[in-house]
Amino acid sequence: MNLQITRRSMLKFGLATGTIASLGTTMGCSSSPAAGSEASWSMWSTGAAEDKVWKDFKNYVDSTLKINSTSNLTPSKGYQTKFDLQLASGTTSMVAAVSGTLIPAYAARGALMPLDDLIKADPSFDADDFYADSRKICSFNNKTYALGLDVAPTILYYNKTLFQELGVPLPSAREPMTWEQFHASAKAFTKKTDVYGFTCTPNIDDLMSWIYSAGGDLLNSDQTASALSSEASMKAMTFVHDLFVKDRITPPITNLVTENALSNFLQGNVAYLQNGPWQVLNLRNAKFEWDVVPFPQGPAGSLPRVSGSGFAIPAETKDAETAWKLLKALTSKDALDIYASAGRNNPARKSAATAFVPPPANLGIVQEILDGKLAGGHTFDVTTNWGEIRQLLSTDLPRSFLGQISLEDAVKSFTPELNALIGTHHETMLKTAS
Amino acid sequence: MSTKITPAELVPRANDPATMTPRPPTKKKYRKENVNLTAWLFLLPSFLGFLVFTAFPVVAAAGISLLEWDLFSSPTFVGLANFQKLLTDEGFWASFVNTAYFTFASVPLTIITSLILALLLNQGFKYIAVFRSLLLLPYATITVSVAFVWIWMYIPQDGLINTVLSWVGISGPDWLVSETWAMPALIIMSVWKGFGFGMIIFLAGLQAIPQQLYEAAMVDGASSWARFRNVTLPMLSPSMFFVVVTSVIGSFQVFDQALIMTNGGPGTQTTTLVMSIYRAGFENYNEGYAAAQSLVLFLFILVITAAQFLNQRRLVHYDN
Amino acid sequence: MTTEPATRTRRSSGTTMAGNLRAKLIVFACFVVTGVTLLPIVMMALVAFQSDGESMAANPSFWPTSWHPENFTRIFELVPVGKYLGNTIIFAAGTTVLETITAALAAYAFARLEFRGRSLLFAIYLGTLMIPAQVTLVPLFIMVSKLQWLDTWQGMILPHAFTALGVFLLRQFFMGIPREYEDAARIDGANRWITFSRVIIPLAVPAIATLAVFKFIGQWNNLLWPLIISNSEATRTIAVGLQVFQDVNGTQWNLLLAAAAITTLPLVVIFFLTQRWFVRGITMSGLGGR
Repeated sequence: MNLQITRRSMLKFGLATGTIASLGTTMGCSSSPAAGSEASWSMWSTGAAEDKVWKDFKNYVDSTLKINSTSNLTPSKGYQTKFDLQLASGTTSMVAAVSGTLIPAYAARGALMPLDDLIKADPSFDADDFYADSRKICSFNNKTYALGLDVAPTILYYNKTLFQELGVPLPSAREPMTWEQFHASAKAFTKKTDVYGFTCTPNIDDLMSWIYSAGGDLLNSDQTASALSSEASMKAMTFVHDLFVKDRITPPITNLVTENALSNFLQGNVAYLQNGPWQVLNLRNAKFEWDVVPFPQGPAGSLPRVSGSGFAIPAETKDAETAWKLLKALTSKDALDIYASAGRNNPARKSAATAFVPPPANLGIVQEILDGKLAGGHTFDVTTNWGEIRQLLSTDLPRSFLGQISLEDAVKSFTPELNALIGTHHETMLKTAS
Repeated sequence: MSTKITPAELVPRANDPATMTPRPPTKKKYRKENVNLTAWLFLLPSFLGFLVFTAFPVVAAAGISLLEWDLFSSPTFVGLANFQKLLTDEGFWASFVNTAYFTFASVPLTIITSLILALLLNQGFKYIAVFRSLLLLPYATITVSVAFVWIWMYIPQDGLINTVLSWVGISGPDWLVSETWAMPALIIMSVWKGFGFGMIIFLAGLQAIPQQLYEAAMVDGASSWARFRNVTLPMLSPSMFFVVVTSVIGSFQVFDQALIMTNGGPGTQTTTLVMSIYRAGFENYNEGYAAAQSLVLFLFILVITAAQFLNQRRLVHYDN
Repeated sequence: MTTEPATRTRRSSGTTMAGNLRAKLIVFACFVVTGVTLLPIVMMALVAFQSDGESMAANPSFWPTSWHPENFTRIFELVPVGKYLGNTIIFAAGTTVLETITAALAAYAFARLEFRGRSLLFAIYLGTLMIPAQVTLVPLFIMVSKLQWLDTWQGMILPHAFTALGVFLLRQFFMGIPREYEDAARIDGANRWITFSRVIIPLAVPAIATLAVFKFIGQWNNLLWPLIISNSEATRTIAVGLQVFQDVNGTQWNLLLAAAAITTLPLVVIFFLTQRWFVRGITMSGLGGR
């Protein structure tokens, strides 16, 4: 009958779609189960060549611990979002890499496990082999939340070919330039059209190196308000601001995407680049000769920001013992040797530093700076709400470097909101300390 | 034509194998009730999946808007506090204005471009399929990769666009770093990236127009403009309606290109609503606030969409 | 099939010569429009041939100073492209097939059956489009992880196979199909299923093909969901796999854009090869004198 046929054929069709759906369900069951129960670790992979480094890490970990570990690699752009979602759903890997600027944020929210008890109970573990800066980056409220993977100061790259072409004397690798010397040296290049003296990204990350070197800071000493409007901080920001707006020593800003500075330098017509040694790999592609020197010294010295990253254990871990073993293996000298010899960045362990080798010829200054034997550095202190503060400082501040508003107006406009955010940070600190 | 099923249609033909048994006398009533059942049988496969994978997360997001939750620690119920905070959040309302600007400029431009190209590509000649495929390229290419080519083209000094403009004596603006031109730059790029969507749908819509209508119009001696106005446009209006509604919804959620090309700057000139929502959720770890913002966005889109639906009675031609 | 509109043009313009001129103008317009539109794509392709250093510079001269076709082979060495393409086909085709079938059925109900609560349910469907994915991501991820579906095909495919967009698109097209076609069949005693499968579906082939194409493209290029759900090479898609060339410290544009070409070309080829589904012709046959 008409009706029954309708219903029957409809049911048939419903069944068919149901079958397709369940087929889809069974199809995937062969894949690995959710991470957590086994020895798994998460890492960002910032390039196809880096995948190989993590493969070597895995092989090393597997052979030392006699296990079959799983390395969960995620492209760097999506790593943090994925890690956040895994934290929210309790599906993180046993050990996860965390960028230093996020360690306070995660630690304050109880997302990471404090490691101090594990360190104390493990006599074989030598915490002193990690650079002091790395240990500072990896701790929050006097507790350790991560073990270092890499750590490095910001340095100054220079285009040797360009220096020789224009007959400008090369900067010294031993003695940091004063700001005046640096300014004169960079300015010398602007005589030629389409050649520039210096490039950096007009954001807070790069400005902090100048601010520290001038004796300024982002936070006041008791971490309750902004210190960006202090005399020292303003002096530093004005110095860089003038390079952009007044002296036009820098290439014009064509977009506000952060890769700007490296791309400018690779163009071959810029004398100095401010950046970290993690760019050494990218610069090895450059078509010109280049090297590195210490960051220029301001009124307080050469105190560029020192930043890094580490591996941490998510707080909800079910097997802290295995996680600790895995964490130790991932940050051991042998593992960091693999990382450093691939040229990724300076390792967090002093004993592995010898594996981070030239080119460029002066690369050794990175370790000398960290050892306190040359120039200096300042640990990149960030807040528990760094993402928010960084976002606030990336609105009006870059506008002043574009010449759209004055630096003073920019600082004036963001200071109330910045103070409020630092206040929130301070409250979080008080809450977590008690 | 009537949407109701007329009794005449229900009378079976004698030779129809499906109706060999005589109908029960109550067939008319039975039949009427059955529309609900038939409809639900058609709906079921879609509805079940929709309920679980589409509707549930939306309802959950609405629930999250009443919480203070940082993703990691256990959430606390804060009632409407997140919405209260929104009222005074200047950044949120600035991004709201930016998003509205983007939408009201990019939607008409995209639709006009799509329509013109679809009309052009609906003409018959030998290699039309090649052109159709090539013109789909902008839509088919991943945003991250094309966005960077556009960044290069927008370079103020010697980028491609300003170079071309200088040939005709125009000194081009600073585009992506200009307070006035950053948003137009994003809009132009988005029109280029997005017209393929409307273009394919209009092509399908044009293909669905019965040829007889044109023939009838030509018999009546209608000019080509009259045929476009009286046949093509009304017959295309259902797909036009779809493209307008979904483009408005999509534009209000613009995110990728703004994030990649300007990161919301200079200042907050190109900060969009979804960018603000994303930052609240995944940079500031304030899930409740992100959800509250998205509900305000939802309400706004809802009002606009409802207005479109109310107007469709006048503007959209359905055959019923 | 495709020649029908041209025939129409020629007839309307009266003389064959004027028709030819107009046809030539249209071809010319197609060339110009396509050329201008594809300029950014051509630039992408040129950068893909540049050396590493050249492509990373701030303002690359688009014409490569030296040609490096080996960039394309390098990608195959660095990334298991074949495996990822296979995964992407499973992912994109899986969602497309599921969504197209379920959306066609539901759209028919919304377009033609006056069931109770139709407007409300349709409004609810549409409403879900208005909440940005960035917000539903959290509950959806938690749900998928509780189902233990992380790194599985069902976890990748199902959450994207039941969107309201497909239902809305097909509903619009079904509503545009003249009712006479259906009524004719119903007078002949066909039930709803028959009218749906024998009348509506054949008439809506271009619309269904359209939905399939943009669903397929969307999922092919979907970055976020596969990135957070897939943990291993077994489920990694090409869009995610090639993202490794984009580095926060500096992107290798030559490789990224060569990779983009490798990702996009299959899409365009598929679209080209399925052209006939977008064209009327076949769909109108069998309807006799209507």
